[in-house]
Amino acid sequence: MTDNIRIVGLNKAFAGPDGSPVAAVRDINLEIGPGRLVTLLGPSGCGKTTLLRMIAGFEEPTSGDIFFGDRRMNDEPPNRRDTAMVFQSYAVFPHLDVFENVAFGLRLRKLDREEIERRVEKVLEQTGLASYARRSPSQLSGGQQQRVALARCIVMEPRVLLFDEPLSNLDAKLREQMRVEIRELQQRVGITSIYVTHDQVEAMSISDEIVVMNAGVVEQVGTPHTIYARPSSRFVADFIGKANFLATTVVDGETVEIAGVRLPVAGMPARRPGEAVSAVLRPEAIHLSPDSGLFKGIVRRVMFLGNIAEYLIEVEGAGQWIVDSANPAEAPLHQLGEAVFLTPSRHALHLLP
Amino acid sequence: MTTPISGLLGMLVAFLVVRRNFPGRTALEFGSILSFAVPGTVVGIGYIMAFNAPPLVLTGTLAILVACFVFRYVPVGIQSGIAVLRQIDPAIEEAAQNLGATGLTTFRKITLPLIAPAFFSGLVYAFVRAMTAISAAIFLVSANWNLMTVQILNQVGSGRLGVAAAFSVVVIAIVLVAIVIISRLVNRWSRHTAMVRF
Repeated sequence: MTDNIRIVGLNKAFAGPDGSPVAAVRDINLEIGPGRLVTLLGPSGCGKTTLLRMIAGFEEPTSGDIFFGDRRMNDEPPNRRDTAMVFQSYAVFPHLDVFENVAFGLRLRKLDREEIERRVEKVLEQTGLASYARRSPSQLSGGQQQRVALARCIVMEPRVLLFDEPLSNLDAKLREQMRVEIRELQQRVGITSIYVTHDQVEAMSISDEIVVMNAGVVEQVGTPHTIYARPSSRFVADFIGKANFLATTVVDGETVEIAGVRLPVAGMPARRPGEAVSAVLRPEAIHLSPDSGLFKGIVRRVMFLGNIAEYLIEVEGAGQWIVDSANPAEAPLHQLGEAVFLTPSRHALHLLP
Repeated sequence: MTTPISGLLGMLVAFLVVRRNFPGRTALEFGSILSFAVPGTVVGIGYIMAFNAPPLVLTGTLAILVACFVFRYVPVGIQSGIAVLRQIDPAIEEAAQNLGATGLTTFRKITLPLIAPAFFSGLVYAFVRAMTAISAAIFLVSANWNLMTVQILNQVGSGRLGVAAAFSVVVIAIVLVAIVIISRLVNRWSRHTAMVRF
């Protein structure tokens, strides 16, 4: 039923304002395993939605191929690709009630009445919409409308599920709840899914794999853990979470030096001693102490965020670092101008290529 | 006769103009307004000159009257269709296609019901104007295919004011009844499609 998706050398150029082509997506190669949920993550304008729309068939690639399983899909119109897409704007049919919205695709397939009723009711049950079957979409909240859109897709049992920033119009609480629901539902039905978002937390929480895109190209593909702990570029490190970028000097095969302090690096790529390398240090991997540590610094900014306190610290000889300290309500916060000591966790340093 | 043709044609052109991108799109939109801008008498004479010689000899037939009215009043349908279509999220139509609907099915099951109000006003306008038109039509009528409005003018010209007034009342009555019928039809039809039976 469900398929792997293969994208080979895909390009898309739009006509720019002066008529010359502007590349939206450049030379994308991707393979998505059957039943996986893969997120396309990137800032707005990075080409992620264009890529998704090409997979759905709403945009034609300038060059390159899209395969579902062994079938080349380039020349198939959207209505024959057997994909189902959840749109950012919900796009529920306003003149049809919830039941008919969900039944729309099945009726087009000319299934018999009992089967349509059985399948629609089952999906409405799964998405918690059973009691709203005869409501009109205008009587539903945003979250419920998006559930209708989701139900309308799942009932088709498509080969590929596509999500185009489906949660960006919902409020924060509902967003969290919906992404858990989407993830659980996707795992239960086991349909290959591609999910577009610009929200890194959303991407981390629902994906098997994340594809980080920037300016039309793929920056890195990997599990959420890999992308976060081992970013392959400054852009990825910066886009996924907060990061400190440190100038380091290579000492030997497993040690670098920052402002006279030597730190171990795990799985260090081959580097010549004395070489200057940029390194990533995550704010939560730094321990703060009032009396002892490897680096000395002065607190320049304090933000209390509830679950963490975020400090900006001027470190002697090493620039400004962001430091997140967990469970800040437990002890008094460090004050502005206070001198503190910083110790990075062991092997927390990641060198950029 | 004129009414459904110009209503449907108007919605179709509006759909093409708003949703499809093809060479000459703006020219089509502009051209569709042209016949509305030209004075009726000029249009009438134009139709006579155009269709008085082969390949299309239509002068004095019903067809020429219908054609003239359709093209003269279709811009209203087009413009109101365009206004409504621009308000509808293109994602709604994409969603329908995505779920397996062809372009035509999408237009029939999704787009048309959503633009029904505009469709209705296009219909009514085309009908009312066609019933009461005189400027272009006065050149196109013949003994076989006359129009009530032209008839009224003739009666007034001959000094038979009473007959003219009677004709006028009949025209008004027909228009009112027709508006009611059209609105009923459109209403029932959009409710019917709302149930979506394929």
